[in-house]
Amino acid sequence: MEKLIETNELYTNFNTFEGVVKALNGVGVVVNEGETYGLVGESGCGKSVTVRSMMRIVQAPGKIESGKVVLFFRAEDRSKGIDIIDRSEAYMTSIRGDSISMIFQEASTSLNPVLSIGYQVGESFHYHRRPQMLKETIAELDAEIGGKLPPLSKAWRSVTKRLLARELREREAYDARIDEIDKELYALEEQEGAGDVSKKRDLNARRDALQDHSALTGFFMGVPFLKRYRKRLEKTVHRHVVELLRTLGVPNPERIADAYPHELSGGMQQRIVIAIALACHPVLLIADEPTSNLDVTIQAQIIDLIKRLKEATISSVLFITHDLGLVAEVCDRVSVMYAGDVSETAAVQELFKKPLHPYSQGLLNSVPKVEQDGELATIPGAVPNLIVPPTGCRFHPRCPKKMDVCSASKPPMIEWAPGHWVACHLYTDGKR
Amino acid sequence: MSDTLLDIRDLYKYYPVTGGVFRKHVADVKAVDGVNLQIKRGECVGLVGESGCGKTTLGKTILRLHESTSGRIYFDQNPDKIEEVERLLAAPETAGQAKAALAEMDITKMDGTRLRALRRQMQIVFQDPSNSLDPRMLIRDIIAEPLEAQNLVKGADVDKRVLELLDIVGMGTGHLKRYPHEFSGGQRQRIAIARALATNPKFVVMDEPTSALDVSVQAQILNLLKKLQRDFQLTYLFVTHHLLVVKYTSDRIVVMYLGKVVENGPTKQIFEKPLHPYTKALLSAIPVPDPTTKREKIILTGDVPNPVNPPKGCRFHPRCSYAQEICRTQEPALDPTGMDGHTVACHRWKEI
Amino acid sequence: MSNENAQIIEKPSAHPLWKEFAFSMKRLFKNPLTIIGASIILFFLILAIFAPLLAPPPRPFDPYLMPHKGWDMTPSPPSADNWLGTLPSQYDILYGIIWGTRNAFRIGLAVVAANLIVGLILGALAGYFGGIVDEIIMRIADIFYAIPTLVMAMALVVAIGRGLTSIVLVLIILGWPTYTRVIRSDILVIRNMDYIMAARASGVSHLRIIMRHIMPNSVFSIIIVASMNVGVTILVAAALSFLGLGSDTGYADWGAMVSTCRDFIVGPPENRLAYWYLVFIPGFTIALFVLGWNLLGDAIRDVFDPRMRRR
Repeated sequence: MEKLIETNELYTNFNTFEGVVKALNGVGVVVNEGETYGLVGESGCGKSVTVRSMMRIVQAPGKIESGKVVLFFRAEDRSKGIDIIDRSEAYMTSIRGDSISMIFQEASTSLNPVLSIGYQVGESFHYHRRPQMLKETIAELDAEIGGKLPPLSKAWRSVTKRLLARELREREAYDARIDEIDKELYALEEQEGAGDVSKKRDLNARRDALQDHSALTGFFMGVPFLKRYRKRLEKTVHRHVVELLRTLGVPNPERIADAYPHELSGGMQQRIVIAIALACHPVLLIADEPTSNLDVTIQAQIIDLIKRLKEATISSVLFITHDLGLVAEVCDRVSVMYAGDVSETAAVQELFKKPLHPYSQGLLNSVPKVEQDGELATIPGAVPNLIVPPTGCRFHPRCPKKMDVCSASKPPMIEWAPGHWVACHLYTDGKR
Repeated sequence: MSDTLLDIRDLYKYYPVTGGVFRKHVADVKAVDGVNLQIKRGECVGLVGESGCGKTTLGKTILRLHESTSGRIYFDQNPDKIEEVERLLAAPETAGQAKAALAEMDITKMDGTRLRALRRQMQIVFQDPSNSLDPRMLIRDIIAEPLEAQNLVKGADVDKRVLELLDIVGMGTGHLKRYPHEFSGGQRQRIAIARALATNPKFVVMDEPTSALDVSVQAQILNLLKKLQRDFQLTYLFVTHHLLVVKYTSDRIVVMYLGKVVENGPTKQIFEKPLHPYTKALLSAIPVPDPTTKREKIILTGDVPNPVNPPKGCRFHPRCSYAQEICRTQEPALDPTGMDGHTVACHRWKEI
Repeated sequence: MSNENAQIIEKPSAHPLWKEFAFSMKRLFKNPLTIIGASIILFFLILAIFAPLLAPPPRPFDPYLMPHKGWDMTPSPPSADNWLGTLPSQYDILYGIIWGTRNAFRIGLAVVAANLIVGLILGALAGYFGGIVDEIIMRIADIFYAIPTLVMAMALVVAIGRGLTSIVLVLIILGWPTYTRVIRSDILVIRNMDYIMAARASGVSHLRIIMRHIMPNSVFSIIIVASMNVGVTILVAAALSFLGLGSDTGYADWGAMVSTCRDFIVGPPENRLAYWYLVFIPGFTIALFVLGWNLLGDAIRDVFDPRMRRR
């Protein structure tokens, strides 16, 4: 299996009033192509911060201190990665929503209450699929002009067509230039050495400065009445939106596209959020607790939808949850996180059958099962405060198998069995 | 003393919806719509259902935190007397006689001192302890509040009792003069439980007591609640949407859908042989923490309808795959199934 | 469970209330706004307290009457005798500023304190009980909001009779709706918190719930409003004085001082700025005083407002 995205020794801190919250303590996560990868852990363990760091959308007091986030998205050579930590913001914008999409826990706050569903879903087509939309509209107009029409409407259509063609031309030129710069950037990244940092910065700045349309086109696009020619483009986008909603099993997609978020139920809102995320067929879908606020029966609907879509369109899913039941049902491979550390990574069957890390064991035992007899096992204590995290292994104050070394040094991640990684001193140096 | 501690008859709770300039009453949110429920002494009854089904409202109406629209709630009364009053009520000519007796027995009619005395017997633990503990009060004052309000303990004995309570819920003694925000979620919930137990109640409503907690802490609290129930012969109404939690804690499960009880039976029976199609779907939708079992899921279509305007007939029929003509027109009653204490409200439970 | 307790080992420490207070104060004084605002207010406080020393009154029985040398209507510029110049009729500006500080504090604090009490009581009633009580109180408040404050204040002052006392009285009558609204909206949120439910479930009486749960939890938002409102109150009072509804000429009141030099705002044609000190000095004083309170109010909000707390 090929790697799709990888984080390496990721440290993210939050500078709050009370002190520096060390939210991520060197997190390493690998998502492979075609798999559903789960991140489980309790609240505050850093699972959301991890994926936010991956997409570089950590909120205000938070900052990625060090580490690498490497994407393996390059069409020509999938084995070569792109480190996105020092890439420009414009580059990130072009990736987010296109090759990586994210859905959040609260669908109601992910949607803008004053914009129609159709507009919000259509935005992704506008930003990331502009050339395709333009081409389709132009082809349509061509067909109409070729047919029988009163002369005036014919004239209006040909004007519209010319203006759209102009937009398309400029956009294609822009894309070509971006590709050029990216190639140079890749070439630079492949040669090791710090000497060309300034050149890299220069290239990134040039990339950001590029415009996808000329001043004249911008004028046409911005002036009232003149910009009416783009109505045809909107129509094409709207058609795609309705089509997308239909494939997601949204009943009555034409009506829903004209509705506003508050008119929809929680489950339907989450479907819309998924539609927005999937608009551009992302390579990776990050789902951050997508069903935590939904009822069980609606949760079952959404999970079923994500599973079906994964088969059909998306290549990989990164699934964040605190619900071990969902993990068992959805994921292929899982990482268990605790207090900013990844404590164990394994295939899901393997993890549930033979958890290695004492925290994973405790977590699995403390969930009520269907065939639960006797008392639930518990993990004593509570999640630590990450302003002053425990030394060494962050789990050691609650660990039933604590040793002296645990408070002294952070255990390394080792591959205990093929594909089964664990970070615990019980297993270092081939013990046990 | 009888076996039944709490007896709920035909309980309704409607929230009026007003509209227009003059706040005219236009409709009702039918949160609890004709619920009958008996809870035995020392039992833990799990009340499950999706959000908006009225389970929390029911719990709070029992405690008179919400005023019921109509219906009767008897707490700790002689069952023969209840039956007699109910008989009197049923016949229109004797209903007047029943009124006098109801004022004595029915929780929903109590007032003043009587209500206050009742509050000693019934308590509640809320979902989120960060909301249920006053952030500006010390732990000591929080736990002592019911004691002082009920004039149960005075002077130096208050501190002693508070310490005792903290010990009961497994907290140390050094916490009296601290604020809630200095504690973790699990500890806060322990404090909330200590407060609920302060007056030695017989009946406690658990309103999703573990949904705001982390998995590892949830187990601690669940074990504590079970232990307390044993030690103090408590009766619980355990309101939750988490079916596995209910299975762990409860002796009996009551499933609610849109303000109505659709199924009521012993936990084991409900899990092994659910009769109502909604219960079936609910159970099959639980994510099971075991990747080796791949079960067939029943995926319901559509959403929970609006409780202002619930569907006619059986309320579940628009989402039910077994629905027939009768389901669309007639509302099913809660029928006994012949199995021990198991009732179900479905026209077709025998066939499906 | 035992090691959970071990995590928090009781340190011998001061009373928790004091700890909270000290923590808040520490936060408060880490904020540069506080330092500036507090020093401004402190400066005025010193002026007010030491007024008899800084500007010894020639007639100790009525210190608020400004001393003046002669009746010359032309103001004189700052000089060795009158450091900040004089008003028309030769009233000393420095003396007026210093003794006017006392009046400013009196007006601001009296009005705000009275509003606070009225607002707390009415807001608590309206918010906690709701229904008809709420309707009556809030509709009366709406009526007050509908009338322009300054116009209403002028009418009332004229009706009661000119003077600083009337201004204070009128501002109290007109000011309570703001406080009542803030308190009410705060209580509407707090009323639905689970801890109020829990108290009710334990049979705690309404009065006790209001006093022990609702008041302590809503008091901070009202303190924030109050500290910001001291400045506004002073401004309105000064405006009323300027319109001639305050004290008589010669009385140490900032608004009245600006009012007495209405005719000298613009100088003679050959030097338009000849009498700059007349309007500038009392005006600047008023502005500084208001700024001080606003900065302090901002800082208090930053520290106490729970929405601002975790940043």
